[in-house]
Amino acid sequence: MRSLSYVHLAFRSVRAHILRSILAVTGIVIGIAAVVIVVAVAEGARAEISRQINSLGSNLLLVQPGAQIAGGVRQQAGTILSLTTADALAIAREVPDIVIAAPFVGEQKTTISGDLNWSTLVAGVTPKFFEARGWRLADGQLLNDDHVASAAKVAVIGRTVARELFRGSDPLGRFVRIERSSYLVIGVLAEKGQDFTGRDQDDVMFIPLSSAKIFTIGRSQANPDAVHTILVKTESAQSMQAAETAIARVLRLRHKIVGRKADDFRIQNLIQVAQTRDRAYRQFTSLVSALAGISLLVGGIGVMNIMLVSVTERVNEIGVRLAFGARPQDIRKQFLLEAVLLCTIGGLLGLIVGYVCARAVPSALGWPIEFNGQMALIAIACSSLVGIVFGLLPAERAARLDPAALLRSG
Amino acid sequence: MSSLVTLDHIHKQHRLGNQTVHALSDVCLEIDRGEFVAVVGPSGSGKSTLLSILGCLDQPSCGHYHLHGENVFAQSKIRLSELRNRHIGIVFQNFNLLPRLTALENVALPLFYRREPMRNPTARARAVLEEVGLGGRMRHMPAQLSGGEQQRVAIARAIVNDPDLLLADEPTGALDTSTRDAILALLDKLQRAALTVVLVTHDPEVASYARRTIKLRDGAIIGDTGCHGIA
Repeated sequence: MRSLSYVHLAFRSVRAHILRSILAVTGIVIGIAAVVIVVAVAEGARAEISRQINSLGSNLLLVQPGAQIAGGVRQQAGTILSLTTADALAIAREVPDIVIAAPFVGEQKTTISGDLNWSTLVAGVTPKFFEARGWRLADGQLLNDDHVASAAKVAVIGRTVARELFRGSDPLGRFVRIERSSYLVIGVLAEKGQDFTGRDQDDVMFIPLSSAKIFTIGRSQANPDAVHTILVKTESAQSMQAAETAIARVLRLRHKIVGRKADDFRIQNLIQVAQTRDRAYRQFTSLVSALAGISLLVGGIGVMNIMLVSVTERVNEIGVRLAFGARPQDIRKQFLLEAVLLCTIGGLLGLIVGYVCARAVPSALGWPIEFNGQMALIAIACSSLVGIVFGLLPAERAARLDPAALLRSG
Repeated sequence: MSSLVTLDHIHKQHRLGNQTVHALSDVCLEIDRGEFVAVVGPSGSGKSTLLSILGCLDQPSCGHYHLHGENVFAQSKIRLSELRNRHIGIVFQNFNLLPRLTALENVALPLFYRREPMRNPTARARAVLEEVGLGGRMRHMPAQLSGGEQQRVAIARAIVNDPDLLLADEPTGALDTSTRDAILALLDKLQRAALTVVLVTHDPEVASYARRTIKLRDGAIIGDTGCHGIA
């Protein structure tokens, strides 16, 4: 009840000098706005990364052939055909803690259905691939081992391909032609969205690995058994490091690489790739955090200054309150609460300004942002804390005033 | 019968630069419950300092002050606040109303700081404002009131907590003659209702309202018309 009266008191004295109060809290407004933007960007980045991890499938390692060295210039990864289906089988057999080792070949191809055509990634895979990447069916069925064994001309297509080639009609049971081969569409995949590089993951068509090599993507004369990638899924995130080492050992042995000779393959941790993008966000957030810290400091000093002025102006009021029975701690409480209220108002304004500014981030920088209620709590807590810290000195000064001065001046 | 106020060899020194000013020297005084005392003397004679000490606003350099038999300056700051709150009411020359509070809120101020809150402080403040004749001005801000009205509000604020001792520092110094008389009549009425009043003034006409006059000069009591005299 009494505390409520103190809040009421604080409100009145802030309102009595409304312009001065708003100017005093400008620093707090900027500081809290910066806090809001930082949290929105950091939350957005975290949400995006967890989305990416979900869409990639968790605990994935990507094994690809190494780059060919032509005249000292390293070519694009995969330009040598060092990996084979047998390597995939060997990894699955010999490396512990591995759930899946799925070989993969892929090439950009023009696909045709009726009078529509669409250029997409055509990928030759085994059934385990879907499991490793966490692909789900929307309709129809997935590729199975029989399809691979018999090199069946069947296909499972992504959402984008289904839309571009069939324009809303049901693709199941229809044919897609790639060069001279026609594939029967037996399944449509559920939508996955973009991966961390911004590539549309649904723009894809899966066919059995064997069929791809025989009819569509073609065999290399040098190594007919070559695959472009082996996708490895480990049992847990903790076992990824060990699996990476074990895969390297198995492949070096199989490829007869000894001593200091370089690997003819490379192993990528997909989650790590996704997380490197996080660094850009982190740099931005630490920059804005510094701005937030400085603004809150300057803002706090501004509030302290205005509170000191207020104490000086109100020496008489304080004396009267003391003369009529206010204890020093009552005066301290009154002025501390006023500083906290001032800063909290600044915090609320900052919350609004920060919200508006953060909304502009995605269009300006192309970064996702995310808001939550926690952010509002952090902002208010920050500003109240600034009020307490920078209100202490003025409140203490007010509480120590000598009421006898009232009569001497009077 | 024990006195309400007992001052025992009170000394008070102020330091002004490297000079020591004796504001009060060896003041001994007893005031009984229900007295109406005027303290007179030229300016600089220590009247205001005496009032500050009586009001527990200032500490003497040495000596003892008993209020109600309680040794005032042996008490903690918190107990001092409580004494000011419950036993003392002060009226200032320049009223010292809080400019952003209404008349009613100004009167209710001491109730706000009561240790054991009143059940209906607003009703009490309203009743006291009516008692001083300002029932119709409760929602006015101090700036909207005349000097006499402001001083009535100040008196209402001083008596709202039923103090034992009402201290008035030149309460009519800023008022014209007719308003002055009205304020003095009000103080007189309150004193007759068993309140102890100590009034500081340099105006002999004002002092004539009191039953007892204490003369101060250079910080010492040089005359006292009361029955106690200089102890």
